[in-house]
Amino acid sequence: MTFLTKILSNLFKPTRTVAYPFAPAETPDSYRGKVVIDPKRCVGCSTCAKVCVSDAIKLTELEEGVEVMVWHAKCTFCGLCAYYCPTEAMTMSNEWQLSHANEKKYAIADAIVAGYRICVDCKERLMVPQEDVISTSIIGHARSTQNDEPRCEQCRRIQKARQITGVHL
Amino acid sequence: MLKKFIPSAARSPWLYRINAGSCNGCDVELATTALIPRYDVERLGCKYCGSPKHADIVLITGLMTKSLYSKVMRLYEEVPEPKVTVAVGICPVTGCVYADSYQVVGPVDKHIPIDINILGCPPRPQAIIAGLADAINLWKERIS
Repeated sequence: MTFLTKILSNLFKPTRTVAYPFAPAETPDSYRGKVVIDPKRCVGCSTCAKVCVSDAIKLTELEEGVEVMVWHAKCTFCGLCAYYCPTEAMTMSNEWQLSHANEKKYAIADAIVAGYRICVDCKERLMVPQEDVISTSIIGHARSTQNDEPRCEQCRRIQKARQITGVHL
Repeated sequence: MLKKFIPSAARSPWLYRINAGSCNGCDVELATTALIPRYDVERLGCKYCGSPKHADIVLITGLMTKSLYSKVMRLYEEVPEPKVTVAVGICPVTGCVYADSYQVVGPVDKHIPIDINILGCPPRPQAIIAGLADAINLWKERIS
């Protein structure tokens, strides 16, 4: 008798099927989808390429910075790059709609350039993030003055010596 | 006479699944897409069939291992033309983490002409349904 009432009550319940191709699908917030890189936070440290299980991330040295390219057709969406990224530049987005025609297989890639910045004193190229992400992720608050006036290590040392001694070398 | 049946055949392509050495993850997702009412691929008119001779859309999972190569090619040739080939998961597309293995004979599109790639490791059922919808459109073009 119970199964008859079950059947009867099921008749008046809404459908369980997700209407996906005819209506938008819902995606959980914690879903690990396509990798997104923030070019402002990336410092081109190659940690992501080292931990990537399927060699989907490739780094190339350019004149203006380090190009980081992710080939989504090889990415296993494991999230290791996002986990190990020291500046939290890599994140897993919610995007999962990646089906495409086979001719576009090699175009399913995203590339960003982590740009070099120029030392204000000696004009040397150096790799510091555009935003103050390293100190905020390590010590919890912004500390360095690298944002407005990026300096290389040597020039920073000279500037510090000037501040302490008051002597202009 | 045969032309009269084309619209109804285009409405209901039959699917055939070839496992070319997959880890079973994508096969489980394909089974989920087909069997669980939540995703229900039969809404789109698709139906899994047991024989390659009845198939219209071929779903290939796995990265084409050396020992399965001849079997997969034989099965693929048994599927009548016109057919649409869909690579499910990143294994048949690029080889996933096993790409450089001695037992792998390259991505599947080196041996078989593939039309649609569905990415994911494994792809979620909605992604499979989205890719299948593309494949069905292609199948309608091919048959008419």
